[in-house]
Amino acid sequence: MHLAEGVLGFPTLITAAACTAVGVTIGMRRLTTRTLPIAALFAAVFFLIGTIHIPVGLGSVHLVLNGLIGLLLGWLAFPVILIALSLQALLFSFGGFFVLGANTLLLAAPAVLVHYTVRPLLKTQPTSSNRQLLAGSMAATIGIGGATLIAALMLWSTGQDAFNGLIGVLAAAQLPVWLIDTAVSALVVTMLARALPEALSL
Amino acid sequence: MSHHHRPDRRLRLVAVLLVSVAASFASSTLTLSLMLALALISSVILLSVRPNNSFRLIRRMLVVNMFVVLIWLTVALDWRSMTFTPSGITLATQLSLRINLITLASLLLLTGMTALDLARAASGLGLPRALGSLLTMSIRQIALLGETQQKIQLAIRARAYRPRIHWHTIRVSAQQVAWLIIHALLRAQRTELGLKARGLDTFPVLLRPAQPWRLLPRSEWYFLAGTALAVITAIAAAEILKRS
Repeated sequence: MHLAEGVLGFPTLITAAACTAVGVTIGMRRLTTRTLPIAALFAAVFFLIGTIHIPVGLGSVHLVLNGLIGLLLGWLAFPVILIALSLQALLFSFGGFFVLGANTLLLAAPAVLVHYTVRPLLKTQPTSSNRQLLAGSMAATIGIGGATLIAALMLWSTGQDAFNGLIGVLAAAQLPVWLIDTAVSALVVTMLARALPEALSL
Repeated sequence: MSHHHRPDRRLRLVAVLLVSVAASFASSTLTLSLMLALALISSVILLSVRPNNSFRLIRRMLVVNMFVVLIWLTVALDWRSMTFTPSGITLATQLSLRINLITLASLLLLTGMTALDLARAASGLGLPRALGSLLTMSIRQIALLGETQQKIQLAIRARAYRPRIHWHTIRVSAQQVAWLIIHALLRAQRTELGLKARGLDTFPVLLRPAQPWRLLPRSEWYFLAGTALAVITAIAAAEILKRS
C-alpha cells in the first residue's frame, strides 16, 4: 500500500515524517552489529514480498505482510520498512521520496503494534497450530487494518470531506489484500514454527 | 560506449526534494501548471538526448495517471447528481498537476540512478552511518535473495503452477514467503559470523566516501541552481500573471 506523491498536504507530510523519524530512531537503538544482517535481510524480504502478485479478477494484488514483519522484528520494522520503501521508490517508482515518511508510518506503526499485541501468543513453546494460525491472521488484520486506518487519517487531514470518496475506494480496495495477507500470514507462521521455530523469537 | 555525464547524485536527490517541497506548498493551479510545463519541456529535451528512457517514463506516467483518474471520479464527481462540482474540479486539478509534476521531476532528475547511487547520495547528505550500512547491505541482500526467489519460482513453475485466485496459490505464495524468511535468517547467521571474523564491532562503512563538497566542480552546482531557478521562475511568473 503506497500513497502517491502529491496527494497529501505539506502539514500532513511533515507530521508523518516526524513520527517516522521517532519510530526509526527507536528502531535504530535495536540496530546493532548483531542485528544488522537480520535487518538488512528482512529489508530485502519485505522488498521482494512486494513483488509477489496474486491475480484477482482483472487485476492482481501484491502481498504486503507488514504485520508479519512487525511480529518478527518489532521496532526494527521502522528502519527496515523505510529502507525497503526507499528502494521501491527508486527502482519501481512506488510512492515517492517526499511521501516516504508517510508511507513508512502507515506500514511500520501497525507492524510495531502487532509485535506487542500478537507476539505474546507465541511466547509459550510449543504453541498449537491453531494458536499459530490465529497469530498470523491477527498480524495481517492489524497490519492491513492499521495501515488503512492511518492512510485514511492522513488523507482526511489533507482534504477533509472532499476525500471521503477516495478514502472509501482505497479502503474497499484493501479488502482482497487483507484476505490474502491473512491467509498467507497464518500459513507462514505455521510453516516457520515447523521449519525454524527460532524465527518466531528473534 | 558513450558516457553521459550526470550531475552529482547528492545534488540530484536535493533537487528532487526541492521540487517536491515546492509542489506540496504551491496551492495555485497557475503555479503548478507553470512548474509542470517547465518539467515537460525538460523531459522533451532529455528524451531527445537519451531516447532509451522514454518507454519507462511514459509507462510510469500512464500508471500514475490511472490514479489521477480515480481522484477525478472520487473527488470531483458528485455521484448523486452525476455532475462535476466546481470545488471538486479545482481540488482535482491541483492534485493532478501536483502528482504529475512530482512524478515527472523525480523520473527526470533520478534517471539512471541505481540503488547504490541512492545509498551514496543519502550517505553523502548525512544519513546516519548505521542506516547507511543497513541500506547498503539491504541492496546486496536484495540481489542475493532475489536469485533465491527466482530459483524458488522456477521450481514452482516446473510443477506446472499457474497463479490463480484459489487455495493452492495462497499456499504456494505462503511457501515462497516462508522460504525467503528462512533463507534470510540462515544467511543472516553466516553474515554475522563473517562480520565477527573481520573483527568488526562497529557498523561497517561499505561505500567509498563521497567527493567533498568544496571539490565539486562549479558546473554541478549550476544544475541545482538551475532547478531552483526554474521553481522560483514558475512561482514568480504565476504571481505576475495573477496580478496582471
